[in-house]
Amino acid sequence: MEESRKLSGKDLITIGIFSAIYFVLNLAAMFTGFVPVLWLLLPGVTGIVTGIPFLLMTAKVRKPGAVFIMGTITALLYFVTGQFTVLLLITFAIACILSELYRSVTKYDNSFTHMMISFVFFCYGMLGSPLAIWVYKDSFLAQIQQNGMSAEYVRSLSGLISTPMLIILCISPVIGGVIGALIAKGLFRKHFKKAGIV
Amino acid sequence: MNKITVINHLDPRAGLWLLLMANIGMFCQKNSEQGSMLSGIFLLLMLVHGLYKAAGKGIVLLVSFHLLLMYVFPQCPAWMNMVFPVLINYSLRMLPCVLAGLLLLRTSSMQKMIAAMYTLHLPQGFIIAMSTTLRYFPALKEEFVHINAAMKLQNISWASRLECTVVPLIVSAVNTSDEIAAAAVARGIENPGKKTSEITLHMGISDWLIMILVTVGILIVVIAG
Repeated sequence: MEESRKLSGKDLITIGIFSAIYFVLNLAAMFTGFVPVLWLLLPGVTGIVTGIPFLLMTAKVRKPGAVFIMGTITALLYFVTGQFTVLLLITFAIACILSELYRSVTKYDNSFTHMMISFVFFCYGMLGSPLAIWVYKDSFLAQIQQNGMSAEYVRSLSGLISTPMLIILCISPVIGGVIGALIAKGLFRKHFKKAGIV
Repeated sequence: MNKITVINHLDPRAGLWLLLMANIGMFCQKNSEQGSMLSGIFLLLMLVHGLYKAAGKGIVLLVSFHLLLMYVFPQCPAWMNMVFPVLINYSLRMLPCVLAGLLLLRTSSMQKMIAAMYTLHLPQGFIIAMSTTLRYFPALKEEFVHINAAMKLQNISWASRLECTVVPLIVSAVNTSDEIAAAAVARGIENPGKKTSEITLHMGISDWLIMILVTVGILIVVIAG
């Protein structure tokens, strides 16, 4: 039993390949962040887009560490391209650990509900990117004022960086994650089951 | 190959250290002068390593962002100002990290990165997965081009384009992973012994010098601000 819980070479390669797909889709979601409102909802958008590789990977590799490796690869790739802040690193680590914990509690069951919930946990990792605005809020606003913006403008801007917006941000991974998982489920049923992949 | 450079080698480990420093600098940054100075340090490093084009783009970006913030946005209507200055301020803050990342990517090959991961004593399982990911990116791109070409032939509507891209991509990924796994097992990936690398990395004097200079420089910028 102990032996079969260890990641084999084949598992590692599966994780590696799906991490590549996950990263590309995640990056694509990142680009929608140029539309500012979507950026505030980035964790949700990422969830919608990246459901397929995550669910397929977790269905194929039902062993401890798989999600953690996927998360670490994503984090490291973002770190190397310089888009990763310490904040994002922390949220990513927490999200991966929660997702792993949930998977180990449910004994790596590949029923849809369990995979979906572990995916929602994983989605929370992207929270760190927009969260930076709230954490650096004061220095952000001071910098804008320093650039010669009117006080009124700064006030309305700080209104946008508000608590209700933060709550929306925190809920977005749940909604995005569920939608992403449902899309993945639909595709699984329509294509991958027939092809004998899942 | 015959580019004129002051230094033509940067150890990936030194590059990672610079990246870490850039992150710390960004984290401690309090005003925009500090940010510009941090970006300046990395632009200078790029010039030293002969990345003239990338450094040029970085300088243009830095200057135009600042000009926009100082002269254009105060004149713009309020609705425009709701979003863009925030975005540009954020980009300016991220710029030192992006530059450091670019420096690392341009100066070291994939093999060097993997060799560096081994010398940093990362878990072997992680390194295998990571190198698979890195090597799969070109294949993914190739696959994407093929699928796009096939879609053009069949006149597929915009609505179903996404599904028609993602599904074959995933199916081919699953098949590829089976094939690579079989090949890797045949070559002894399951061998629990330590893997060896063709490349031996060594930190040169220039690496240490750059690491020390940049660390001191960033410390000065952070403390002085």
